[in-house]
Amino acid sequence: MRGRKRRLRYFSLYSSVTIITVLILFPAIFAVFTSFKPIREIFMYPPSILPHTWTLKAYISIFSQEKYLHYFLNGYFISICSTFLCVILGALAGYGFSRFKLPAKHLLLLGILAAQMFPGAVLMIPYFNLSRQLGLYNTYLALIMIDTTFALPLVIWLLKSYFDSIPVTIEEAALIDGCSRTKVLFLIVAPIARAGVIGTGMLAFIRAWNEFLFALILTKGPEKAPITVGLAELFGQYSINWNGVMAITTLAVLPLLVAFIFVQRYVISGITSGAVD
Amino acid sequence: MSLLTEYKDRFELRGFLFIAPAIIFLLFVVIYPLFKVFEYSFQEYSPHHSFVFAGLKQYQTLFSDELFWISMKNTFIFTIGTIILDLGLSWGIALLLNVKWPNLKVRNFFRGALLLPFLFSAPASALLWGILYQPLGFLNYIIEQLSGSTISFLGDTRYALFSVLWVGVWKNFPLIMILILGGLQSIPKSIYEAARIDGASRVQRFWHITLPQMRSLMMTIIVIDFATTFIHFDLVWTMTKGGPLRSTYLISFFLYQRGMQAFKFGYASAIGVITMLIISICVATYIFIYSKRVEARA
Repeated sequence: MRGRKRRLRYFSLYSSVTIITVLILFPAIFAVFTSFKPIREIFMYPPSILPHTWTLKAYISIFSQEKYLHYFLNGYFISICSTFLCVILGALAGYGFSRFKLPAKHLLLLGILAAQMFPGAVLMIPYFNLSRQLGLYNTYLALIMIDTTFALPLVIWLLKSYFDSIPVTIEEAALIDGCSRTKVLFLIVAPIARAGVIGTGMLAFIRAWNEFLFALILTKGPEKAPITVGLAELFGQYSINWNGVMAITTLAVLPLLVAFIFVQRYVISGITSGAVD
Repeated sequence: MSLLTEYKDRFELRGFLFIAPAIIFLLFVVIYPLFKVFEYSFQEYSPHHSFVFAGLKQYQTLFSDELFWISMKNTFIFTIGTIILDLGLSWGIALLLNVKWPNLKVRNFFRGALLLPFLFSAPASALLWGILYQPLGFLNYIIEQLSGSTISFLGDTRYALFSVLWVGVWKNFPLIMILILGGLQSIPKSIYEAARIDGASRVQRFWHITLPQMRSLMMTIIVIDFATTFIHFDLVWTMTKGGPLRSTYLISFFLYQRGMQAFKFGYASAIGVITMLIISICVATYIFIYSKRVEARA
């Protein structure tokens, strides 16, 4: 009797969570199927979820457009650079906060906490103006710097808390042997905290890859703009080729999805420890 | 006394060398432009004469600008609506994932799968929902089957703001759900055990244990959600450009439109300053309470 009741409970739990998950993911599922439809099926009414005939035409037509190749490569370049920069700067700062007794440390940490909630969009006017004055308009450097800066507070905060959890005694031996502090950080502490470093880096990468506003105002045309700009300009065009659009959208999220599957655990622990309580 | 505990006991200015690069970045990319926003907001910009001092003129014009108040109203509706939906959806799903699962691997699979919307950028999410929102799209097909008529999701002033808001919630709630789930799991099981032995019902346990334990986390979440949603830009730019009939004009879009399209840099900066003040009040209150709590703990 008890066993049957429990089985029923588990069955209802599994089925309700499955239904919710499918509903939540439906737009993404629909997009992937749409990207495999031939164009004549796009405007069929009533619409169908699955394609009647499967085709790769939408994907082939994207790769034949040089514009999108640019958008993707720009996105990769900007995101990878800013992720590396972010992790290096964040590891240094996190280590500094974790291991040294500093004057005004508490205040600085609170400042970094506040910086996480800083509304970056209010800076669009000075960014636009300054980037023109400094010759940084329509360059990778401007976007890399901005993406790095806005992910940095979270990265510092997370890496500090990971470093805090590593006992200092591990470093002592190396320091006594005459190893420099920077070496200790990058050769001993960071490798021990690699789960944290990977998760944090992934969060920084997701942010940079998905950044849109500054890419929109600081670039002109597909020469330097990342994929978010390419996606946004597709919206609202009439006689839109939805299969092509969905193919691009699918390709834009694919690198994150693949990376996410491998480091899911670290990302989740990064998100959870990011919210200080 | 060991070498490192010795280090820990006295100020070590060498530590600043580690922090300096990050601080320089923040100073150069955030603090300096921030001063510029304030500076611009007291000036008038014209392409030929560059900036001219204008005193409080921008602010005076701003407060008598009807569109400013429309944007403010929309932004508050958008922000509060987002927070309510984010929390409702996240709590519901987090509680489902927090019950005793027969198999943790299965639960973690669902947890990961439900986080996927977070991976989509705002323009990508706008496109995913854009196809569903089509006049002859999938959602309208369902609505037509149920009610006999269709809805113009993005073209009707009654639905546009909500339709955009919903895409934001879809993209954002997974993060909050993960945070709430993490919070729920960090509540010691022994408290629940003790309460159950004392005869507390499920509802009582939720009310007297779960909610109080989650209070500080909830405050963090609400403040972060407020600060990020209040300045939300990406979805409105992508999906509606403020329309129809200004019904989706959010403050950030207003700023963008005045600054980047009308090139009224001074005016747009004044919008930025006011927006930042509103968010700062919210964040400062939170930081104040947070630092009190840290002090109390220490």
